[in-house]
Formats: sequence, C-alpha cells, structure tokens
Amino acid sequence: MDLSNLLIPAVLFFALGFLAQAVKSDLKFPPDLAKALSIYLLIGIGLKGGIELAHADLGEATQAVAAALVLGLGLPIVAYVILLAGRIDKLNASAIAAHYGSVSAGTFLTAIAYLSAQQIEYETYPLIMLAIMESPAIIIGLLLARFSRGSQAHDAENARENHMGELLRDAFTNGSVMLLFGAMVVGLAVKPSSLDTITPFFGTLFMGALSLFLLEMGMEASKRIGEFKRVGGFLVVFGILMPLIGGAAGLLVGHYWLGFGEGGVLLVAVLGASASYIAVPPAMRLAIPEANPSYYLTLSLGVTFPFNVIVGIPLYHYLAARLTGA
Amino acid sequence: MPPLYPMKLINIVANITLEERLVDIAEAHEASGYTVLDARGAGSAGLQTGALDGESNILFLLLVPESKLDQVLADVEKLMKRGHHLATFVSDTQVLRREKFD
Repeated sequence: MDLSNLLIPAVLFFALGFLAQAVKSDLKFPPDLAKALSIYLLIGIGLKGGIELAHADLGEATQAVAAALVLGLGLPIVAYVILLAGRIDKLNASAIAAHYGSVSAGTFLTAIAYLSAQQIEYETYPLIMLAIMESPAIIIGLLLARFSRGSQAHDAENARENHMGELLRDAFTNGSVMLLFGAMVVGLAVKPSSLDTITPFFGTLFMGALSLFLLEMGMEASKRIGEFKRVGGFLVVFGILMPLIGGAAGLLVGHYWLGFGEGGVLLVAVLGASASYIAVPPAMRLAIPEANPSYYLTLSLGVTFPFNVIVGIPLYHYLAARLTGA
Repeated sequence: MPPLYPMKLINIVANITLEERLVDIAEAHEASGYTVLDARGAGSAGLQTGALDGESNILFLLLVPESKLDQVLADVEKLMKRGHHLATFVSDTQVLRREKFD
C-alpha cells in the first residue's frame, strides 16, 4: 500500500478540518454551507451517472442494480445482528443498522478523487449503485424497528410512522434520493450539446467543491470525538468493524459477481463500507424517534467516515488490486 | 402605554424534520401564527451543530391564549411519547393588540 496516494486535496482538506477543530481554531463555516454543498455534489454525481447511463449496457446495469439491492438490504441485517450481540437495544440497533446499509456520497466521491489522482479507470455502474443504495437500508431499518416495537406499534398514535405506504414514500422521496435520481434523469435526457453549458459548473468545479465540503466534514467529524464517551467503546469498535465487513462484501460482489476491474471493485467496496450521514439521519429522526441520534451520527460521521477516508480507501484499493491482479 | 394582554409563549426545541408536525399542531388548534428559528446546541440527542439535516434544530415559537394551552401541549406531548427528542417550555408573556392573536 502506497500511502502517498492519500496526498490528494479531498483527503488533505478533510484532515485540515479535523485538525482545525482539534486545536480549537476559530475557523467556522457560514451556516448551511455544508447543506448547499451537499445539494451541489449530489446533483453533480447524479448528472455524471445519467450521462454514463446513456452508454450503459442494459444487462450489466441490471446486474449492478441487483447487486446494489443485495448489499443495501443485506448489510443492515448483518449490522443489526452484531449490534444485538453487543447488547445494544433493538431500536437503536435498527436505526444504526440503516445507516450502514446506506451509503456516504462524500466517501464515494473521495474514492473517485483517489482513483482519478492515480489515473486508474473505473466502471461507472457504481454511480448508479450509489443512487440505488440510498433507500433500501432505510426500509430495512424501518422494518426492523417495527418488528422491535412489537405490540406497541398498534398504538394509534404511532399510526403515521408505522403505515407502510408512508414509510415507503418517505424512503423514496428522501431529498438525497430525489436529487440523485432527478439529476440522473436530467443527465440521461438532455442532449450532449446542452450539457456543455453546465459542465464548467458541475464538472470542472466539482472536485474543488468536494474539497470545501470535506473541510467542513473534517470539522464535524472532529466535533464528534467528544461524544465517544456517551456512545461507549463497543459502538466505536463497531464503527470500525462494520466498514471492514461491508467493504469485504463489496469487494467480493464487485469482483466475483460484477466482474469489475480494480477501480470499479474499489468503488463497490466503498459503497459497502460507507455509512450515510446526510440522507439517513433525518429519515431515522422521523421513523425511529426513540433511537438516540447521538449514537448514529457519532458512528457514521465521527468514526466510520474518517476511518474510510484515511484507512479504508487505501486498504480496499490494495485488496481490490490483489483480487483483480492489477 | 398602550394596554398589554396576557398570553402563553410555547417554546419548542426540536429537530428540523419535525417542523411540519409542529406546524400541523399549530394549525389544528387554529393558532394565529408561529415563528421558526434555526437553532444549535446540545442535549439528550447529542450535539446539534446545524451542519447537516440530521443535526439541525429549530426553535418553534407559538403564542396562544391560556384557554388553548392544555390542548396544544397535549399534542406536543404525544410527539414526545412517541420518542421524539424535543424540549418544551412555556412562559407567561404579554402582547400588544390582542386581536392579532385571536
């Protein structure tokens, strides 16, 4: 593993944000900048996915979608079982599990920046898988929570949260899902000539905006370290163990099922390894209000995200290269 | 000094995802209006930095006459019983021009 590959702007700005917060710098981002940047990044990646989808082979795309569904539905169940074994209560376990089946676009984009810096080619189907994988884990989380609540769920006051139609609607109308799919449709539908007008904004500037976003996320991750005590040792260890399990699942799916090359396998591993911190936390706030947001946010943003950016991506890349013989 | 009229000010600190539910409660009780402010802080739900939706709070302010207070609070408490992490506190206040709040 050559760690100098981590010397890319996205990763270094993340480290800078982390450091700035750790040394209690007065650096502050304007309110809502991270939200604005996340909208921009989701549109940018959705457009790219849509443009690529236009050249996609239908059979291969269908396989990628099926693989995304298997990872998105399977990983939360694995996470849930591990959490219950660690004596985490069922509702917190359901909410945390949903985060680990879903994906982090920030981590995924860092992996793309990492590959681009080394000029490693990658399949573009993982872009579609990213969009697909936002929702299934939310649904599994909701079903696990419903199962955990058991008879309490018959309480009429819980009707709105527990109505299956409402749950499905929430999972698929989630803001991130709307942006990713919506931008993908735009990218697929518009003529290449008209795409040129937005390419400077959504293409050329993209990696610069990602660096800004990661700078702020580095600060956010660092702020969460103070919450480790509240969360407890088992969950912090889980936040490192689960991406390794998800990453391994992604490596196997990417190589043996989808037959991707080194770059594509790394991206599928990152999809398996990453935990959502943008789309899933608000969904869990509404659907599993009993769970403690401090647990799932600290894990996904404070433990798993930095782990994946600094350790996970080079590790999965090393393994992907070994698997594919690159 | 123009006359002042007693009212109750309901303050609710909640995650931004609950805004719609709180507006529903205000409308169900025919409140004359409400005010929402962005809020940051920390509490039983952990750190709320305001950077991402999952960690963004609001301060929801609602002025009601005492006659409506019990019913509004009962609805807010239903949300809390469901497990939502909200902080609710009520203060006595006075308003200018009572008809604005009827």
